[in-house]
Amino acid sequence: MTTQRPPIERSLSAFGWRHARSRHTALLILTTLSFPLIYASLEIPKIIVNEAINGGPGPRDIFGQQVEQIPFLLLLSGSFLGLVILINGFKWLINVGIGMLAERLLRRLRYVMFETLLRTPPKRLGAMRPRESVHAIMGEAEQLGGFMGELYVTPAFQGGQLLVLVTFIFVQDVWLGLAAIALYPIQAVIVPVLQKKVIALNRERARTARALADRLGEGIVTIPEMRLNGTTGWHLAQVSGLLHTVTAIRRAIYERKFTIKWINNVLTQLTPFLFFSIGGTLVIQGDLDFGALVAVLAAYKDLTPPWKALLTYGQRWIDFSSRFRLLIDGLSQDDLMPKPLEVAATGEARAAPGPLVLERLRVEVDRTRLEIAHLEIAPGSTIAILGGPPGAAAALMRATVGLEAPAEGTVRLAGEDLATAETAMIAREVAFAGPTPTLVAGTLRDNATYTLMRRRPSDDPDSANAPARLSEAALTGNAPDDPNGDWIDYIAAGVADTAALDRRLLSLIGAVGLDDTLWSVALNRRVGPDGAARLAPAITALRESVAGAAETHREIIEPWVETRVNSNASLLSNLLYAIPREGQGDARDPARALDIPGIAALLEESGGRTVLEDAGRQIARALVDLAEALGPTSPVLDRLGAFTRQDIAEAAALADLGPRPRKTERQRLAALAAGFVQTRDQLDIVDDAMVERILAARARAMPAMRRSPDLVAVDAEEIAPARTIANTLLAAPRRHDRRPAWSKLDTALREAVEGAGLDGHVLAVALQTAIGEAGLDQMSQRRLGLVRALLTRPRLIGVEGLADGATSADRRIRAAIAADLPEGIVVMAVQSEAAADGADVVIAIDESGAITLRDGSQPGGAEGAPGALRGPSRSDAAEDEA
Amino acid sequence: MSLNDTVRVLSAMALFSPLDEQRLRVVALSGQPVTYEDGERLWEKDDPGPYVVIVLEGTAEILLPTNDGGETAITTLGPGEVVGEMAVLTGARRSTAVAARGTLRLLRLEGEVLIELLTEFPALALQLCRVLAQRIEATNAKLAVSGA
Repeated sequence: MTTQRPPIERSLSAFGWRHARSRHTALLILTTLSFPLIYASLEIPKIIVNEAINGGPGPRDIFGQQVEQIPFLLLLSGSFLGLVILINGFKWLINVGIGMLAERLLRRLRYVMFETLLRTPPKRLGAMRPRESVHAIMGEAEQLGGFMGELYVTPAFQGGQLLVLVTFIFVQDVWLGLAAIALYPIQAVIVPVLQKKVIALNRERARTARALADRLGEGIVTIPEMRLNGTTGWHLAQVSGLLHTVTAIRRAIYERKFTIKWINNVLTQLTPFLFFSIGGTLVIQGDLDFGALVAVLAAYKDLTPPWKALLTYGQRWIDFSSRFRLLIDGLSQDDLMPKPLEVAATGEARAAPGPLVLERLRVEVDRTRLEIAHLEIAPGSTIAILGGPPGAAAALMRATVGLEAPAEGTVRLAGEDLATAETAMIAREVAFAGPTPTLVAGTLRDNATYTLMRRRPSDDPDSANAPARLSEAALTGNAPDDPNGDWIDYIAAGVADTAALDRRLLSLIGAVGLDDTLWSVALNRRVGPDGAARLAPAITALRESVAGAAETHREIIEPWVETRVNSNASLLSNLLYAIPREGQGDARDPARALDIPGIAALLEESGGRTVLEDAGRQIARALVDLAEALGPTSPVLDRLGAFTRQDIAEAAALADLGPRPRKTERQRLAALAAGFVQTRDQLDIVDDAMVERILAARARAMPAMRRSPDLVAVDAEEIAPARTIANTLLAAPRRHDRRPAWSKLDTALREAVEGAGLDGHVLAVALQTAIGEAGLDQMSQRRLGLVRALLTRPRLIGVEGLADGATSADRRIRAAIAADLPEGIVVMAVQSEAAADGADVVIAIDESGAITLRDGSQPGGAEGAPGALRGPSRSDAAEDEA
Repeated sequence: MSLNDTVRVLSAMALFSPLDEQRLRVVALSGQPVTYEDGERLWEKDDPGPYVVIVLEGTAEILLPTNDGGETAITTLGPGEVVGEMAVLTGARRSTAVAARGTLRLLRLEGEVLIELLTEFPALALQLCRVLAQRIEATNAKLAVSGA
């Protein structure tokens, strides 16, 4: 790997200047243009005092025009006002410019940091701490961002303003000018020294406080021994000593802190003293006019803010420069992988199938060495790796497919060394399906096609925000590509368009046994208005077709009964005995249903609203109780049933409301409870008293509910789009605690949907489910990982944590992989001999790490030393059969 | 089964003894209560094992295949017992099949949730180590007796 130029300039000022030179220059020009105006704004008051007010009556000659005293005064005052507006206009322009400049530099910095992280070589990836990296890109960069905008403009503007003011004072009188600046050196030198000392003392105080805490803790734990040994006095003396140290440090801090304040206050007041005494004397002696003294005093008033801003800037510059260097040092490694990472071309340029050749391969797992002298595998072969110490088979598999660098030796695919092959070639030819596939934020479909998202989308000319996005990207060195564009590399997948890709996707999903999961997701999706229209004509027949299965498995369903609370349905549905027609009454966002006026009125009239609010209060209290047991950033907060992290965060404000909450608070309480499902959300909210109140409210709401255009009764023939497909067909919710048995009903439901010709529509909708909502278990996630690996039609695929056992499902998946990749080489880490059944080559590792290569077609026979062995390919086998 | 009932079962378990009631509620709500009817299988031998279950009510049978192609219950587990933790911790396949004898109520904890709980409550992790170590010691003692 060659040494490369660091991805970012090494100094903050160089980074800020290089990437925004023209913007900085424009702001500096703007700043410079404002200075004459500032000077004029100081000069005009002087003229007002000297000529308009003190100049006596009579007309003045202004550009050849005779102007009387009062109009002259008003003209000057108006000019002054105009200047103030103009100067502030400049300031507005400069501030907006600084803001945008900062934002763009921040965007660039974050982008470069992330891009650099993506270029981290594999050997350093394991040591990378995601949380720290995220904090660096988000938190640390954010703090730098604001400063980068003002890097050059602030010293120029504040310094320039100071210079104008001081020049003005000097022009009025040299002595006053000298008085104005005489004390600056003291402030610029002494104050920072004292501040530095205060910072050091504060650190020392923190250290001493920690030592004191340790001593106190030690003392409390040691009380029994202390009493036994009579050492109480010694412990008290230790604590007393530390308390004295804390006091002494505090005293030193106070002395310096207030000395700084004293110096600043005295110096600030000393200058006006000089102005009054020297300036007053000069005016009395007639060496300075009165207007000039007034103007100098006014100018002096304006001196303090830029001076303070300059001092602060100096401190921030030192602080942020070092922070920037720290940030960059972490990124400037010599071993970064080269750009670009993306696959340049689409699926054309596929290499011809070639053998996989392992040459003098050595992989080390803990202290075990796994060695293969030479192994050549023909295209269309399956290799099963098994045995050895924990992790050995997986490690050898990963090295064999080039996923991890071996300690020694080479792995060549069709002649290409995988260690040095181009990223594009690896992406095209090699795939991996592992135990923990990364799920990206997006839909099921996005995740299933993730491996194909590498073709830069062409820009949509009709997109309204494209020009702004492109110009901003150009200004900040960011990628100009549309994040929401079509990134799919159809050629790599071997399909022509989206429809063909979906067909291939569904076929693979079926082949790897993920179809049951997809159907389960589909049946739990809401019907939606489109689905309702399609289902409506056949709903009676559909319900009849699933009735038999529903009766057989009636213990899985909780039917609706008018006089009973349905513990598997939401509180809102229970109160209304209905589902909101278009809203999301049964969903986790029930607030929308509560906002529908008809529903809100019905709840208010029936008393259901109070029930919801009381339940909401109980839920909020329970959530606060849970949050107290966990840290604010705990990942467990995302695991508490249907309650989101946000629900829990908001609960704190709702739990302690007084007896008369505001309308918005009542609304939030009701919203929290509306979607509550007793058996799913578990909290003990619905006790006997609550059941009575729910049923009473339901009875009061029932007549109006039947007439309401906003609601569909749970026992109506009509379809509520907000209901799930399963609930619609079964006319009742399934029991949440019987979820493992839901699959018993799924077949009947699936057949009904297929019978109605809705399967394509339903599965397409299911693929659009957000990955978080799909609730895939670990095995389904692994199967999804396999689907996306197969979608690229790799020449070489590694499989781990999937289809590695001897169950029939495992065998089916292994067969599906082999069938889908007739010319591909499949390398699997498997758990047992039985799972290696059907492999062309078996690599068996014993506990010491010794490897035995075996021809898989002859179980137990044809053993060989870890030397040359050419596995018979699946195509060979096919020829044999033929 | 109410949340309080679940917490009551958890609080009686040695594994969860380091946790107070507040934290036991977190554990209970992190899992899903599931019910199996008589004869229904929780999993088969050699299935992947991505989750553990805690028996809340009823009886679970641990089954092993017999030489004649059938299977035999090697033990039964009742309320407060954990099943499937080895597969979750080691990533290995299920070593036995498990079925419900009568109606069986369980708390199902996904493996990754269990790991997050162990990270969140280190005392629980330590207690799990103790429980597993005690189990190994008991097995060793049994082996020693049978060897003698």
